[in-house]
Amino acid sequence: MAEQKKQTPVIAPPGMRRGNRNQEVEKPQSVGETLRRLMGYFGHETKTLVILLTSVAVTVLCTVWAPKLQSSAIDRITEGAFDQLPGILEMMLVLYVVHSVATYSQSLLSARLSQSVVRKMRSDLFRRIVHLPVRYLDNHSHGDVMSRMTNDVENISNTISQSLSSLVSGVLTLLGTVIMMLTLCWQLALLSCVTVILTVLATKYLSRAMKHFFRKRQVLLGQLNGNVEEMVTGYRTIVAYNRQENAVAEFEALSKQLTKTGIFAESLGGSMGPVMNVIGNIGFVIIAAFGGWFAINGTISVGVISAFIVYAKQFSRPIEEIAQLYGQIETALAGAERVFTVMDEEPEQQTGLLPMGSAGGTVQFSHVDFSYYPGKQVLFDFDLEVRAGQKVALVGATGSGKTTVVNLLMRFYDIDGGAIRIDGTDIRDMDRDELRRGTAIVLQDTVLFSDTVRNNLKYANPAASDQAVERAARMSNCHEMICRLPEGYDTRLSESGANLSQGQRQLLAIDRAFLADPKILILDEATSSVDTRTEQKIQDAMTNLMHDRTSIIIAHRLSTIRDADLIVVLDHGRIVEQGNHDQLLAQKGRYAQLYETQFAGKET
Amino acid sequence: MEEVINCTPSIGSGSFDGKTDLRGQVELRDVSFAYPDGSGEPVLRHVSLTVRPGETLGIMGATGCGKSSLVQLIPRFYDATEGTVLVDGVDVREYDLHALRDKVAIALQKSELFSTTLGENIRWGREDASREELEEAAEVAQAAEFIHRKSDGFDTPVAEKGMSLSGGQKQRIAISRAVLKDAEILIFDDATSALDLKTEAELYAALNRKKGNVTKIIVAQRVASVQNADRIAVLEEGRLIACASHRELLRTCPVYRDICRSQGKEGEQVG
Repeated sequence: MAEQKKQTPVIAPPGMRRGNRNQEVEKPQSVGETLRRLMGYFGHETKTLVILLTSVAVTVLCTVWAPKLQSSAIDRITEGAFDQLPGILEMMLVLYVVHSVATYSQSLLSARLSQSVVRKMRSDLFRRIVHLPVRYLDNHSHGDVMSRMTNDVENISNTISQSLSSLVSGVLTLLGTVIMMLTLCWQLALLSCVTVILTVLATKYLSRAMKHFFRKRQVLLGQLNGNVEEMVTGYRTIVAYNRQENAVAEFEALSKQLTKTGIFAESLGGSMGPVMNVIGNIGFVIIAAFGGWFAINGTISVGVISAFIVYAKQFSRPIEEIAQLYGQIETALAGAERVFTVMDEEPEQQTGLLPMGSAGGTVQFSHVDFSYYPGKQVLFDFDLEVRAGQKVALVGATGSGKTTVVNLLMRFYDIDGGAIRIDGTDIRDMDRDELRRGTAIVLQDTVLFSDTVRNNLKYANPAASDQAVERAARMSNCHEMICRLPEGYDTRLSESGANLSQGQRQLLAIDRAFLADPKILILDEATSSVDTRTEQKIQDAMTNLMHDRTSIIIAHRLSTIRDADLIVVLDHGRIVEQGNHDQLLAQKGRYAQLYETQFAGKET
Repeated sequence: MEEVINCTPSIGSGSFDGKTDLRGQVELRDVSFAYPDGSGEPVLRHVSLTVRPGETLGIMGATGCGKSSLVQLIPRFYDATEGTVLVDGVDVREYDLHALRDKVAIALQKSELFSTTLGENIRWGREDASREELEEAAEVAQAAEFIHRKSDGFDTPVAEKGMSLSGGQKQRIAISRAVLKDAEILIFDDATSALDLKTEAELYAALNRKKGNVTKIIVAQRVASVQNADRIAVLEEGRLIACASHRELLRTCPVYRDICRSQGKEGEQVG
């Protein structure tokens, strides 16, 4: 497990995240590695890449050859051999035309390349995200993860489409120019080296500073996104407590930080250009002066000077371009690193391969110990046996471990000690998908998607027929409610089902669970948002459905629990009492106490 | 982006600054309501109800019958489509929105917490509250105990959306926040659903002791949560069908009797 995490962004354990506003900037550990992986994505588009590179090469060839022709032309003019001129000029024209065509195809192909590379990247990232263990998303800011998917990938796309061909052409041009310069006059070429040295130094120092700020900016962007997401989700509370001003202030503070960093990053990036210009002009002067002197001494012809000037400019332009692109490439690499970090997260391990089997559905917790975080144990020696088809109610004060038990059964988290078995098979040996297909869970917070009601219901069981859908809906008393909606089963729910009341969403969630036809049914406070009259109707239906099904219910309402076959009372992660309603009342222990309070109401 | 920036909020603020003699009176006059982008089907129909200052009112009814919608009209999360909602005798539409919301403290069913410390979350109720007031609010909300059990106490950070807390703990923090606010009207929109009955009972007892003259409106599913209220309003399909004390309702309202029966409280004479 340790070798997987070669780079962990400093995201503190949950609860710590907001403590330190100035989150540590991600230190780039392996630019080379990231580049290599990025290149890997290009591997799928070799044809486009090859054509692109060919057009780049053609462009470069034209660019590098043209000054030579120009030089010849000028020499002919000075010699007076005007008849040879048209031929050379024609060549030049052809060259320029070819250059334009090649440049055009370059941009076309770059765009295509970047889009398809990014598309593959996005799909890989998303695929990984949906297979991540629950623990990852519980511990990381959702907004940050989303920012990687959108902002970071977007940056990569832009960079590829704009910078790739520039980069390659820049390098090739550089090479070609150097060769031409050396062949024309090696002394001048050497003198031009001065420019090169200056350029290299400038690039090195400026880029180091830029890298730092660009990375910091990406991090801040992620934080900002997280902040916005939180505010938008908790909107009602902000409004109810008149916290709009505070929310704005908080956002502005983050935004200001981001702006400041952004300004630094951009100005440094922008300074590259002017600095390169200055260096270029220095080179210009050198060539003009020495070139003139050489020409006077007869070492070279006048045409060579003109060619050299063009080459010198040609020389500095790619370096300039590369330097300017540097900033963009830095941002993209930083983004790519963040994307790869998520992709490198271990997905849920597929440790088991055994199927769930078709037996009744007995569940056995054997001496289970569990802690979400090391050192903070939540379940102690949890030992419970549920027979097939039994209805078990987990009862206890809030925080006593009820939801945890469910998390473990669904293998959202793995236990520290003991074992959990279904029909005798340890769930760690079971195929995870099978396990989850055979269990259906209705959560405390109902999650619905912005799709039609029908599709939401068929979520776990896409193959269900319309009759099956209707039957399940009637069983969970959803049918009338759904028919009353504007388009019945085909009504589109708004984002996270906000156009329904909490109770209605609960009913849909229950309905969905019915349709999934699981072997084991888990209800986590599912019916607490439903009024008890409707709950009674559901319970009747559930009794039928639970005929061949093991059910585990976590509820506070004794009316729900009263009919359970087995009641398990939890306290601070331990089972303190077990039995059915009458047995436990007779014991006059914790359960009896809870039951009394129902009637006592005000009294404690 | 322009679309969002140019969007005019449909709830415009009035200008009334909220200074009234009455403190904590809520009145609904023939209020009907349908969600703006819903099916157009009214969720509340011709509801008329007056809550006296200092009264504890329970609201019960079937799922989707309009309980949440009703209480959300008070701080103007939505505006009624027909009829008037008045707080302290003044139409809520006339209030400056800030002033109105200062009078109402609401704890929602889905407690929304933010990734800062526990203490900070509670302090949202009232920025300038003292440490003692913070402690007191947490005590009333039955949250003090679990807060103090944490090594950092009030300074314990809350993870994203309150992941590190259990459902009941989150609700109690949200309740502390509402209690701290010191508003005239305290609304619990099924905000105790994740609390066990014992804790809930202790909560109401503490509220009665510390916030006796605050108007409390409690929307709940469990009869036990509201049976000691001064009055209980029973809603069915958006209509107010009865509003009286628990005993009265047992006698006169068959729908209420039904609910009690299914919760195992038929014929209970609560002592």
